[in-house]
Amino acid sequence: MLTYVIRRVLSTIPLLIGAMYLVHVGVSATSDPLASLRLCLPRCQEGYDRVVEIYELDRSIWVRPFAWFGDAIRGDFGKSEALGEPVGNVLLERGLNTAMMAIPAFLISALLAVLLSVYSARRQYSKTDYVLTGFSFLGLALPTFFVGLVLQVFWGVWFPQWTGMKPFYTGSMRTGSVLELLQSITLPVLTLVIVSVAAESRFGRANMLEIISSDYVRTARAKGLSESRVIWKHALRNAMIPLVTLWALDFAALLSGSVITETIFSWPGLGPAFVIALTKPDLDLVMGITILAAVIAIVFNLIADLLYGWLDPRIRFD
Amino acid sequence: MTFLLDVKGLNVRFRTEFGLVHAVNEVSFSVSKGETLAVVGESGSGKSVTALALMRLLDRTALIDGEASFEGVNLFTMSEKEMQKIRGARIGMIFQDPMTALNPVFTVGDQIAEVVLIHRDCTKQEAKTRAIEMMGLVGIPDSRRRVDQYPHEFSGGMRQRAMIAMAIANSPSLLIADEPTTALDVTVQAQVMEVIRSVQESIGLTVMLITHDLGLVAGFADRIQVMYAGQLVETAERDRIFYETRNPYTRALLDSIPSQLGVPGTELKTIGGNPPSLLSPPPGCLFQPRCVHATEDCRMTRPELKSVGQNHLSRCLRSSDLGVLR
Repeated sequence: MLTYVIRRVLSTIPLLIGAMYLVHVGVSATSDPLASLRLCLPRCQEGYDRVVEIYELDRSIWVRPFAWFGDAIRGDFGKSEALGEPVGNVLLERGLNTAMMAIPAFLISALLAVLLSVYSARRQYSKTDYVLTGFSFLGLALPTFFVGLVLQVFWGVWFPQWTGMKPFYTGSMRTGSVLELLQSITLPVLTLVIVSVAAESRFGRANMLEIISSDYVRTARAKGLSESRVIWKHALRNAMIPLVTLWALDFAALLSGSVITETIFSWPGLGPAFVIALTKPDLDLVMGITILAAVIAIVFNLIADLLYGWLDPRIRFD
Repeated sequence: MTFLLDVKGLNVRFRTEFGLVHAVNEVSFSVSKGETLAVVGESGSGKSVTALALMRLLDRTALIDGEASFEGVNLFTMSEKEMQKIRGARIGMIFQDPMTALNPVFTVGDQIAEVVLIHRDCTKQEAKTRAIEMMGLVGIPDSRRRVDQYPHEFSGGMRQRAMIAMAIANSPSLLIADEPTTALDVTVQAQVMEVIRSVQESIGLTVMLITHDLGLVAGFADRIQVMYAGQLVETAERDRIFYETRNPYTRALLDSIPSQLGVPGTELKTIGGNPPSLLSPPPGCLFQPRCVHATEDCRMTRPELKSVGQNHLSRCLRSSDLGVLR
């Protein structure tokens, strides 16, 4: 088991390096930090030379990533030009803000997805099932920005007096009270929940339906188990196995920053920072966020694989 | 004489988008304590549906009526809660495909112990001990170690033994075996039947064996009942079915058994045609289109189940003029 984990982690290193290299080359090739300086050239020759030196622009874009690797290994991810802070600090602070939103959003949507898929599968083709199916298709079809804007307008602008929810995040993370935090975090979390639960419950329902009609569920009933024990013990554990993959992907995506939701609600997370970094472009910040997202994706894939082994004894890692 | 199970006028219909499918029609039969009743018929004859209806394991699209009295109570009128106390405790059931009938994510031991735990007042340890004991009884070698293994570590025959262990762990009075050997190799089939027989002797079990394999039935059943298109067509003591066959369908089934003494090169006998649609059954005898003895009358009149001898019933208009079929 431990050997498996170590082997898995080590095997992702070449993948990570390859990905980093391509991102670095790609961003370098499509951006030119010297564009504005070149316009005033004879006058600002000194500044021009400094930028060339800092970013090693005199060297080929194919070798430039190696300098970045050298620094990154020593824990120096460079400085974000756009935000005026070391990239490490930006990632930590904004990463925590993103996690603050991603963790509740994930937990709520995972729980809801399980409950809804069990309910829909047990009452297939009932009125409630049709209504839930309708809403989940709606959730799948509506773009995130639209869901976010509707919630914002409805709860935050038209009827703020009902719940006191805020359409935008305004205060500071550190100084605000818990109530203030809840008021500004509820709507973005709700947006993320609506969007992810739609997909997860569709998938969960399909799994559950297949398992409810399987032979071993019939065996469980023939043993005289109560319906709730049949569903929550015998069927659910099997239905969770494919859901785990989807959850791992969803949670990893949420933790790497939800660009649209965070931007709409002005949440100071990784998402808006990534947009800023790309539009500048701020090469060090792009690299920092990319590597964080890659690490998160790898970690969650590993967690999903380990969960498989725990849920399904047919998958072993010896 | 009192019966362990007495079924009267069982009808099972399924609601489908095309209308009602009459899967089981007016089936009445009884099983006495300790005997082995074999229910024989081709696919779609309603034999499995009969068994699942008795266990109330059919889904919501099934409409069941009739009466099934088991140990003095009617299985069809009791609440679901009461029925749960019967399933796995008083009636055990095993299924066709042992490869899929066990839950892949729990150990075999847990699955056997579970049925003991929910029906008896005992500790987990006692339930596990009972599971090991049951696994030994059905001939799973090294049961103390195998109790902690998962179904995928068992072969097909061993899984079916585990299913039997699960079904009899609470010493039920009735075991319903729904095609227990169909998915197994021929050599393993014999072993599994031997396990059922030895368990039957050791705990005094009544067995209702559902199968399409008359060869299997020959060495095992006390009484045989033959079903066709959701109806009972013939029922009698085993030997009467084999040697004093009165129903043309039973005869055709017997003739389809490949003979090991047959002349090489002769074609296997089959029953031509297909069973009728149970959505809108034709008038007259349901077997008539495939029957070699059919007359004009058979097309118009639906035959009744009639006594043709001692405890021998047959559903055929011509049973008196055809006599014993050979």
